[in-house]
Amino acid sequence: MNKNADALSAAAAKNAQLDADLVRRTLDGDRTAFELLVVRYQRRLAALISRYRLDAATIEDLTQEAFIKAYRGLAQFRGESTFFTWLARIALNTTKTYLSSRRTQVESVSLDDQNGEFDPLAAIESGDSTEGSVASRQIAVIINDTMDEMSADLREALSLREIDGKSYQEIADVLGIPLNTVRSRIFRAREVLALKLRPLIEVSRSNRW
Amino acid sequence: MSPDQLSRLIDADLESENLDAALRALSGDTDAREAVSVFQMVGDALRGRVVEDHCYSQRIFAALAKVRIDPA
Repeated sequence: MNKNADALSAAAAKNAQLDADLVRRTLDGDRTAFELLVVRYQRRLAALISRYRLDAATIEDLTQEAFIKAYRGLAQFRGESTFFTWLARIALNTTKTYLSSRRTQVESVSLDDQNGEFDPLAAIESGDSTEGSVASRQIAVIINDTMDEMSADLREALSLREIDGKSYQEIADVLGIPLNTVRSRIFRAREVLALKLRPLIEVSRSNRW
Repeated sequence: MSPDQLSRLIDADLESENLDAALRALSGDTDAREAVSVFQMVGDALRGRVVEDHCYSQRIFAALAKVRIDPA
């Protein structure tokens, strides 16, 4: 299923294998498997769509639409690229289609404006909010501060995993520690961060998995 | 399902044969789902991705529930 697996790092190959397993399980009827794919890739996909400088609601709509198209057409995923590459293509096509239709709408709005029907207040209210960006910055600050405060052992293990993209085995080799110690340190580091983040993310908890 | 296994799950460190059990556990465990979501968010934030605006899970899951997969 993964033609390009040889070219990937060990961690990327494991991720590709997990995605392939989740796709297969989804096709066998397990929707929870696809939900895990959503959790894994929703931010990355939204970040990609947001490069088109769209408002937050539109980014959310397009992200949802892309996942639904991917789910519906999942049987067409052959594993010739990574799952995310395949998903990203769907998202970009969905976004381009939206932008094309919006250009048509903008032309219509201009005509409506000439007829006195354009509502500038509604246009402003439908614009992007800065609330989300503030929350994002708060999360980033908490994570950075907590990373600075936590023990070097935990910080090192989590950084090698999340920032450098190393597999557990590679981290064990780099740090010269047993594999189970790597697992434990990464988990403990995440727990420390989750504890600090909890008060902030509970506000938007209803939106999560 | 223990939280350390959830941590391993998102890192693709669980053996394939344990994945079924992990997914079964996730489907009925709100706390486990929350933990996975937060662990994933931490990773995304450390990699510099915008986090707060992009937590759409519930809405996407509700939409998916109404959709059928097309045959190959």
